[in-house]
Amino acid sequence: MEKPNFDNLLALIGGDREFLIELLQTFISSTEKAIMQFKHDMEQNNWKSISDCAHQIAPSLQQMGATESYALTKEIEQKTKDNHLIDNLKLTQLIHQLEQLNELIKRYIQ
Amino acid sequence: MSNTVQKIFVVEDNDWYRKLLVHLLSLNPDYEVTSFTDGPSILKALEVDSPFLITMDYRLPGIEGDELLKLIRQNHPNTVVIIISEQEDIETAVSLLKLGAYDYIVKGNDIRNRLTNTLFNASKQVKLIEKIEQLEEEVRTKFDFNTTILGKSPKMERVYKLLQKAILNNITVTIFGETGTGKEVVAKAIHYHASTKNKPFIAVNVAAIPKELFESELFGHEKGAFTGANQLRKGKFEEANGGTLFLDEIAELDLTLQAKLLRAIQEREASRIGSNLVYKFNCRIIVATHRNLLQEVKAGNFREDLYYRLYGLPIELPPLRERERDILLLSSNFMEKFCEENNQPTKKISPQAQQKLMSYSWPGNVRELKSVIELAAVLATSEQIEEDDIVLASSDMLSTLLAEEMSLRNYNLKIVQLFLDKYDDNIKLVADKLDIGMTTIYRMLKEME
Repeated sequence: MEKPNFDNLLALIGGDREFLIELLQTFISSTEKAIMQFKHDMEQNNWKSISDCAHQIAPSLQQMGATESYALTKEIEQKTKDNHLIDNLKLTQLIHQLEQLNELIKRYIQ
Repeated sequence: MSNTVQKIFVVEDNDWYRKLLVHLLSLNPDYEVTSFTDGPSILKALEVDSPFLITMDYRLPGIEGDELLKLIRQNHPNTVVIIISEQEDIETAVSLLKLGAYDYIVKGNDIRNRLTNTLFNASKQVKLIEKIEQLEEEVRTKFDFNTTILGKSPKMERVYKLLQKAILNNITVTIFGETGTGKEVVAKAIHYHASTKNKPFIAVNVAAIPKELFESELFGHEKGAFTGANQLRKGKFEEANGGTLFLDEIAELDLTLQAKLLRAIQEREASRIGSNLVYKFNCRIIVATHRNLLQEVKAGNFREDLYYRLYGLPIELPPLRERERDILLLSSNFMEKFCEENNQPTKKISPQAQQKLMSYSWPGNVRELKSVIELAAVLATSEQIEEDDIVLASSDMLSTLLAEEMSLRNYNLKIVQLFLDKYDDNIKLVADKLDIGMTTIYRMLKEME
């Protein structure tokens, strides 16, 4: 299971722990929305929308130190960019990783 | 923009990244950060506000990134725009930079350093641009017709009319006038009021440059073209490209050099000394001389073809002695400016001092008048300039009268005119002073017309 690393993010925001928590909470809600979007788009075979959604969440994954999820997100973004069909397995894998990430972050915040 | 808070707009549709950017920028207390989630909302905000800087994502809802950039640059050309995007596509980055984006930053771990550096450099650039605009405005104001070329005499009215015509196009202008009449001031006034105002004004005093160096000065030279040519040097035509080249004392130009100048002006091209390559130039030519160019042509000192090439729009600046009405106007103006520059209250000029100013011939013209007034301001021991504070090179009326040679008849007319100026056109008083009849004066006045 991938573990996020908040050290770089904390250094980036000047060591402001309070703001870190705010960012993490925003990440959780954004990712939950993205997960719902991915599931919906998969059913609809809307690969372009999947690409847009992946484009949206990628930067935050990078800043959070979730390197595996970031790399997978970028791969999916590129492959679905022109509405190309992809292997659903990869997208299912990403959704699973995002759900696990969210759980870890919720525990961290608590 | 001095030390006040600088406004920054952030456009980012991703909630997480928008919060991050706002937080990073707000770490600097000099910035006031406002965020937007899409193109239309920032465009609406820009209708009433003009921030120092905008950071925007490339992919935004509601409008394409390049379209939004174009609109911002069009309506807010002084606002710095930084694209902060996930896309690492170089072509996209280059095209956005060409559209006017100041920088393109890829979202990554070093976003804070990149932003800090870019904002620092952008801030410096904006300050430099503001400084340049301020200086350009100061120069324009300095050469404003209404403040620098003062005069209400009929001869100056004619000069103003010609200046108004000169600034409407790029016709060559020839300015004739004695030394100190303001030839360079007029040349600059034309430049800074015409379409050339944001381009270079290059002045060359032909009389001040040795004949051997003039060609190099005007056309430039290549490195090693002659002994002492240690590096490439652009000529004045190249420096003035797009703007104005002012050739002062053009009548002093050597005949061989006149031929080369003529060719360059006709063809609008030249070569640097030591080079076979020809370069084109496009600049306005303004020339000035204190001599009578036509007489110089007849005497064989000035080429006739160059004379006609340069003639263009002739503007004759009258000597100050032919602008008596302007002497006091100019004096007040010089006094006011000098006192203001030296943080002193403006001094008044006493009637006796005014009389002294009016009765002098001013061989040095306006330049001499300015020096005299400034010296008077320094010498004055009270808030008023007295007669003794006016120090002239030659202060008696006889010298004034003999300043130029003329016929006896004209001397008589001149004497009558001087007395009329001195005694405010009081014909009866002047007739008494000169021991002549009033009818004689009326007859002479008619002759003067």
